[in-house]
Amino acid sequence: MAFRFIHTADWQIGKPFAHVAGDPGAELRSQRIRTVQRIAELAAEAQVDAVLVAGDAFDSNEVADRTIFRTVEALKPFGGTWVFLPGNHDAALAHSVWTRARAMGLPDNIVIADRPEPVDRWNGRATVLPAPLRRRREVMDQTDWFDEAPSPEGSCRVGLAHGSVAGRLPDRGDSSNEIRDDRAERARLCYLALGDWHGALRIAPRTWYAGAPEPDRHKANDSGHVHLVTLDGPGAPERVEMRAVGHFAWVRLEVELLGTCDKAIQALEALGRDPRACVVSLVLKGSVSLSERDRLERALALWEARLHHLDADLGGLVDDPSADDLDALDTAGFVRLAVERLRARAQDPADPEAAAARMALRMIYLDHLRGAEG
Amino acid sequence: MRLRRIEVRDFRKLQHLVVEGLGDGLNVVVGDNEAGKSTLLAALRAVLFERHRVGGRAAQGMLPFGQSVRPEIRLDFDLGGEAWRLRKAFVQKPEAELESPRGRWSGDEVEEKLAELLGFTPPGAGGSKPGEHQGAYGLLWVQQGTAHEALGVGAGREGIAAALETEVGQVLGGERGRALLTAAERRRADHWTKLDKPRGPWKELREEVEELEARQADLRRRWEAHDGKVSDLAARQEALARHEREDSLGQAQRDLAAARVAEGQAARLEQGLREAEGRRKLAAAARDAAEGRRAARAALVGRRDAAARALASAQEEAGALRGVLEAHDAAARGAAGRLAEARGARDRATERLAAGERALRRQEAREALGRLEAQLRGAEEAERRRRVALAGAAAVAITAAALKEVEALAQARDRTLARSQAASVRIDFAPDDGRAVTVDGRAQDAGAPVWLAADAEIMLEGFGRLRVRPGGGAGDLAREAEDAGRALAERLAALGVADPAEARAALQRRLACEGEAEAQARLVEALAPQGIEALQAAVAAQRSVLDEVGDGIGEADAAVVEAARADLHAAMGTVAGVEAEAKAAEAARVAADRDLATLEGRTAGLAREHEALGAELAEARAAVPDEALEAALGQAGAELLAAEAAEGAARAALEASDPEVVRLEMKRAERAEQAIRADIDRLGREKRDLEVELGALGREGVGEQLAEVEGLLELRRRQLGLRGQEAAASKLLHEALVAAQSESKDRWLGPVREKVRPYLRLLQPDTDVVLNETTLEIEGFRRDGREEAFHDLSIGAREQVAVVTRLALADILRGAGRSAAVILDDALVNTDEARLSRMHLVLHRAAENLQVLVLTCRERDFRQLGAPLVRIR
Ligand SMILES: [Mn+2]
Repeated sequence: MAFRFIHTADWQIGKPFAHVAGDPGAELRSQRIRTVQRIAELAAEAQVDAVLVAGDAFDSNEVADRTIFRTVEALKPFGGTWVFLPGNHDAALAHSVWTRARAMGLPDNIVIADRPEPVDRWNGRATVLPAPLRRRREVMDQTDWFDEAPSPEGSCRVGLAHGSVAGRLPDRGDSSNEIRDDRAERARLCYLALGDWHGALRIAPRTWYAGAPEPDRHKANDSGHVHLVTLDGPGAPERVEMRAVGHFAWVRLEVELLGTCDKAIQALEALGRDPRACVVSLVLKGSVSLSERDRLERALALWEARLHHLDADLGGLVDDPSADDLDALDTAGFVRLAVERLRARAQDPADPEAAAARMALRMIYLDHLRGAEG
Repeated sequence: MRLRRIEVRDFRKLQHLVVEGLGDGLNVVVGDNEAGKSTLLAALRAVLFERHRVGGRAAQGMLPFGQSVRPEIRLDFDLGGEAWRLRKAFVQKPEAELESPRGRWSGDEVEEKLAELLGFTPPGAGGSKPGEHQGAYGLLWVQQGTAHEALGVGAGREGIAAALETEVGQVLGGERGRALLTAAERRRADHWTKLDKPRGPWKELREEVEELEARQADLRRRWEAHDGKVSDLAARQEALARHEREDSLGQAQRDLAAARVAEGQAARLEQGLREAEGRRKLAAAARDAAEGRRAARAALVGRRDAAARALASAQEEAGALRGVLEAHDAAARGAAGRLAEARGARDRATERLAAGERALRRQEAREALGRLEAQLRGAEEAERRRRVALAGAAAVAITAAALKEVEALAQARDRTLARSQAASVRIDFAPDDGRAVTVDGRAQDAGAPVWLAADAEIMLEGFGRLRVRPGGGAGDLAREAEDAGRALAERLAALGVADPAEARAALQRRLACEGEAEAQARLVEALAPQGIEALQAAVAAQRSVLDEVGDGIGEADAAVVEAARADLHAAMGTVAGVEAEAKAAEAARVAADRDLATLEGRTAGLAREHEALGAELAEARAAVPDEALEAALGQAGAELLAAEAAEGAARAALEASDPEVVRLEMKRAERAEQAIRADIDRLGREKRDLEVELGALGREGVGEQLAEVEGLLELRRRQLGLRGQEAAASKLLHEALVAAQSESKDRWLGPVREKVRPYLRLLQPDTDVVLNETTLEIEGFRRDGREEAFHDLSIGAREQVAVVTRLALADILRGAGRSAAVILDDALVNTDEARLSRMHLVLHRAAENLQVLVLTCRERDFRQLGAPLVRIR
């Protein structure tokens, strides 16, 4: 009989998102727990045998008690076996989120795999081999023991580990928590469920990252899913379905402007999703005239209200006051003198106050516009 | 604007006045104050600037005192190349008319047209005031008595400013510029205090960032402490697990139990040893006690025996002492009798001795002579014998050395003879009675042995011959002996003696003679120590003594005297002896008596002691017989031996169990168990404490808080960065505007300075007028590079500077196409003559481009001015 389970990881419950101030930040935090509940509901619907959480369920070992409590509450819709693997964020230290969760009293269906011991709760159909991290950074490959781990005849061997597969992931400089890329092969695993990489990824034969179910960063990777895995037997190929569970879309937009701000506004309009579920990082570069800058800022204020969160980085956007801008200033006498001088400074890359001069020009421009308006 | 003709009717004190023929340049209007010179200026102001409908005080002010008339003023002027005619009538039926080649206006239109033409702002209501409503004319038309005061630019400022702007451009930026400056000021004030300290939201943001940083540091510290505590907890757990895994406490407890068993055994062995020791000591004491009892018994017996012996000896001694006492008694009695006899004999002997001694003294003298004579004779005889002996000694030739030589030779002979005899055969004979023996034919005494050194033939009677042949060497030895004998004989012969014995005898003789001679010599010396001659003299002397004594009665017998003396002596001796004897006998008796008494006392004591000891002994024996004591001693000795053996065995057993090792092991096991238990307790306690502490920290969610604060801090920092940029930009903007404005003002007043300078050069070289760039009022006067405040100048200087400045400003207005006439009403009354002539030059220069009306009451002052003069009456 087939063994079916959900593979997920990197929930990082308790991640603060403090750079998103106020209610949107609180919303991001609480959504993570709602997404966990969504996974539980999906598991119940799909009637899987287990949910395997491949590490970093919690953002740190020092999350508040209430965060642990609310997470455990969110698991309730699925009464089957949950296997939690301690990852680098929630390593199985002497005192950890796991010891604290246990102290709160956990239901029997929740297994904390904080020891390298086979978990066999499915009458021999499957054996889960966990490789818990008991330090934040392990130097040795914690999955070594899988190779020699015993399992009943005919049982599907499923590895559960957290870390980076040696030599396969980009952006990984350090060599801690490394996992051999041929571990599935060596340990005769039907499936190696991995965590730590926040995108969904098949990285080696029978070796998968599920990615974070709720995206949490502006990174162009495939997060927001869980894997619904079916293992028909020890020899059969794994069948993996990706199921979307994430709520928020984390979008990073980089737009280079030249003179006008149209492209920025077009990029926002092209999001194609419910703006309320979008967390957007908008990075603008290039240069705009003062009038366009004014228009841009009005537009961004509008989008800020429309999106769940907009983080606009205008640091790379340079004001380039056009002749029209300055004409619009319509000034004579000393104001023109001051504007010309500020402009000269703004255009002098050697002037340490060039940026301040640019902003000063923008200010006088706005003052002028407001004066003209009222 | 150039004034051409003025006609005034019923205006204040002027009933009718016409001033005409006014030229382009300088014009002087002469008239004393009463003539209405200043009223003319007032009429000019009224026709141009007062609304014709004006009422109230302004209207009343135009009427002559106490009259109700209709003041009317006509003014012809050129402006903008055209000739204009203006007429206004006030108070009653007010009227206004303005006419130019291009049109004609009347009523209120006139007022509007005038304001437009001349650039002034008519008042809303009431009269027109020069400073407020008359534009540049308030400035250029100087009323009498005000020339030395401030310019009173007032509303003229706009016109001048406009004129300056046409000259130097829009330097000041106008209203818009001021608004932008104000906005920039406000922006700056949003971020900075007057002292350039941050303020407002920027400051609050900075403070929030600081506070967040502090919170972050605090949380990080707590988080790190938390982290450290987790490590501590892991270490405790690991240590506890190790204890459990290694069962260290169980091991220690087992060790301790084993050690306790061993210690119990050792303690029992030790206890056994102590008991054996105790028993041995008891046995030893018992044995000592038995021995003591036996010794005491022996001592008692000994004392009793000693007492018996002492008693017996004392009794015996006492018996002896009683015999002695009796003997001493008898002796004492005998001694008393003998003492009486001896004393009688002594008295008789004393009498006899006295008689004999008298005779003896004579006798002695005789005998002394006889003795000396005999002595002399003896001495003489001895001398003679000494001489004979010396002669005898001299007769003997042998000396001691010669004798020694002879004796050596004799010894050599005897030695060789002895050796010869030893090598010879000794033959002893034992013949049967009477049978003879001959050797080599010579009879041989059969009792003596015969020595044969050479072959000999012995004839034994009754037997026959016996030939004897002695062995090797005997013959040589016999010859040696013969040679030695010969040497001796030759020496003896030389000395004239037969044998060594004779030689010795001769030497004896000689020695005897020498001894005799010496003995005689000593005799002579004894008899006559002072020599024979002295003795002879002594004899002679004694003879003479005797001759002197003569013969006495009786013949003295020395023997009798001596006998008598001996008798007396004996008798005295006897007496003394007997006396001593008697005394001694008595003393001996007393002593014996005393000794006896003492002895008898002692004897009695000894008898008592003996009796007591006997009784004691008997009693003791009755209690414990001697045999029982012996038996007890034997028994105790045997028990002691047994106890010693038992103690030895116990000690050996204890030593075999090695108690030091047991003790040390016990100590070690105890300490180990305690240490491990304490360690486990401590670890457990610390673990629980850490768990509690970490639990508390967990509830707070330090990590979550820290991450939150860090995120917020990052956000706020970014915002602060933006705010900071805004602050810097606002400051920069404001500073840029202020700097630009300040520089512009400098440029702004440049034209005024340019226009003033030529006039001032005429008046006083190297001077300058300092104007306020906003009000355009005169602030000061610069002379030789030093600035003086305007109000500090002399009144004359003030009016001159003010007039010059007004002229310059009029020049500027003209340059801007707003040419205006300058009217000076007695403006130089405080100027001295010298300066006045310079001022005339100034006015001429000004008049080259301007129309200047000088109203004065002093015709004389301006007669030389070279300008047309108009007199009014
Ligand atoms: Mn991870």
